[in-house]
Amino acid sequence: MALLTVENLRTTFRTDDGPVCAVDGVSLTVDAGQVLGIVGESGCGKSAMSLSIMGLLPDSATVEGSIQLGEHQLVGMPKSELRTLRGSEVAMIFQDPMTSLNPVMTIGWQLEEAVRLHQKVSRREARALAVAGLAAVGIPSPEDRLKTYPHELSGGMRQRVMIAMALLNRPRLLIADEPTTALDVTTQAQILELMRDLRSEVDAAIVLITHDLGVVAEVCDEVAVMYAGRIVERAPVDELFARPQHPYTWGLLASLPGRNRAGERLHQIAGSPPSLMNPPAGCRFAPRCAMAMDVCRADPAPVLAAVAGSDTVVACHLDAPTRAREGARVASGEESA
Amino acid sequence: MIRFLIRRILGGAFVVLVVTLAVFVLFGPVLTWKSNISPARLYAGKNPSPQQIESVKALLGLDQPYYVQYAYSLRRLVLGPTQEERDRVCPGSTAAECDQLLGRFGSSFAKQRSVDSLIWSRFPVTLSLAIVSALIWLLISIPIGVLSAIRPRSLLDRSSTVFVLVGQSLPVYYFGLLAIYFLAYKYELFPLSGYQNFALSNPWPWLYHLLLPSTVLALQFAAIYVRITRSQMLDTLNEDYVRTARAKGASESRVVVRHALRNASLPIVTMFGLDLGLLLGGAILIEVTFGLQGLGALAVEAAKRLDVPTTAGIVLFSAILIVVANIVVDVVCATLDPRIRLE
Repeated sequence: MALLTVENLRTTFRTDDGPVCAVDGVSLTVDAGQVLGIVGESGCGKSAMSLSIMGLLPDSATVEGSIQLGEHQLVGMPKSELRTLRGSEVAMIFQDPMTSLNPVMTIGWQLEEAVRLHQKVSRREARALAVAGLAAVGIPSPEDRLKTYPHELSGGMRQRVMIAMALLNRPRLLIADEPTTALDVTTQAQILELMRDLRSEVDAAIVLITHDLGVVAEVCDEVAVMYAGRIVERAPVDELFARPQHPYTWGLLASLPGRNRAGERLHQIAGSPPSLMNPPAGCRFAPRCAMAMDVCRADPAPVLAAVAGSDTVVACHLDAPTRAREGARVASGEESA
Repeated sequence: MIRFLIRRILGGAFVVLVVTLAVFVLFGPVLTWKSNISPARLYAGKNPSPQQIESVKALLGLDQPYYVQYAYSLRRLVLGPTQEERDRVCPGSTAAECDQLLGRFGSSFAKQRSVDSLIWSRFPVTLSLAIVSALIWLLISIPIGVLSAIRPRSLLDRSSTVFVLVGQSLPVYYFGLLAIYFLAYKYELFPLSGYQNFALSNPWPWLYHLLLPSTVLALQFAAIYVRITRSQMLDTLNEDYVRTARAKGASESRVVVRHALRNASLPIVTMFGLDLGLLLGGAILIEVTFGLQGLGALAVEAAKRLDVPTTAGIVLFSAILIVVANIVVDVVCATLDPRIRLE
């Protein structure tokens, strides 16, 4: 059985201009030991989804649907109960390590707090766990690091501390929200390597949120592509890169720098994402899709359906041969439609 | 931290030095030149003869060039009066008697006393008033500010906005008189005026006499502090590390108190230190309204009587208090936020 099962998740924000549905009917599952990547551009609802799972959304947001984590149903769970799960059953790593640690507390204090919020241990034991946690993420002389403040560490070191803190209570689910976006390229590589190593050590399910397909290719087992609050394609990582099915995925893949010939402009998807306040009818990608047909612009929107002969599901009205042909072209590095 | 402290103290000493120079120039040459006030004439009493004035000049050292006078006053401020000065001003009296007449800040023209003894006799009143009202305004404003920030636009938040507006708009003397009329005169809940010395065995009379003036003074400050606390907390609660604390599973009260409040407190501490330093130099309006014989009231008396040394002494004393308050604020901030120690 899957560790995390999200079904038909809808997250709506009340705003002064009316409700905004940031996540619109998302379903996904993650098994223990598996890494699910969630890709999409800014504002597609990836972060809103992860915060829905964590229960960290402001009061102006309502979450509907079902989030089943092991034996716990997180939707509708009382806040106090949800709090006991946060940091123990499910932990989160955030985007910007420079601002995600409390600047006026030592690293040691923050790590020990994370331990003692969920485990009944003495300060000495909490300290020992903190040291072990720092050592596990490859921080040299962890004993000394406990006394330092966040501003005394580099960005990469801080992200390691964040990861160590998230893993201290052996969570069953780890959500990483763009953990490498704010880091420079060499540090990114180190953090990704660390996450790959940890994957095999801790038997947690990992949800990795990113807009970087390179990151997905390196660490994920499965990928879900999100667009305007919905999942448009979900596939095992090799499948996605070898046989992408959705026009939006093609656009993303074609935009990767390495895939173009030198000196050429990078591919870009024309237009910009729709407003979630007033999303277009039918397929939300239709207004930007070069292959859109009349049926795409009309309700009901296409639903996720299995692609014959693979583990991929895709929400697209295009017929299978067309998708296979175009997908193959993009995968081989040619300019997409 | 030690180096930080030493640097701050040296900086503070320099500021005090500049202030002494400014005070000397303003209350010495400038005063004589602009308004024809001669200290010697004031000191000598009514209708003095030229000989009397000359002897007073010699007594006070006013016949010396200005830079010598400044050097003497500076030495007196730092080291206290010299034996030679004691012999000149109060010949034949003991050191203790002479201290009543001549101090580091000089001698009052209006009373046969040293400015030091005048200041130290009034300072406890001002200090008590400042401490009690500071406690009151912090106890009122920090909880209200924090709660308003946690629930913005709630009923509490909106009523606290009204409170802030009222508190800031009502002048102390008006609000103070209202309070005296209703609470002290009509319903006799508090004494009309006056001050009782603090006694450790029974601090109640002291507190009883201070409650009304302190509260009136505190309300005005509380208004401002509610505002800053609220806005600082609102900013801090949106910080990423606050979200991290929640993601760790910390309770909301822990998030607010342990993670947010300490980060939000820096500007509050800074302002508090400066306000307290300012208040210790005398809260003129409140002291006069409530008949408290504090430094502020002394300053008013001295200014009315053209008691130049006393006025100058109070100015200098207040300036030193503000400098000290600044240093204390810096140290407290550096303790609260490790990043400040780095510079």
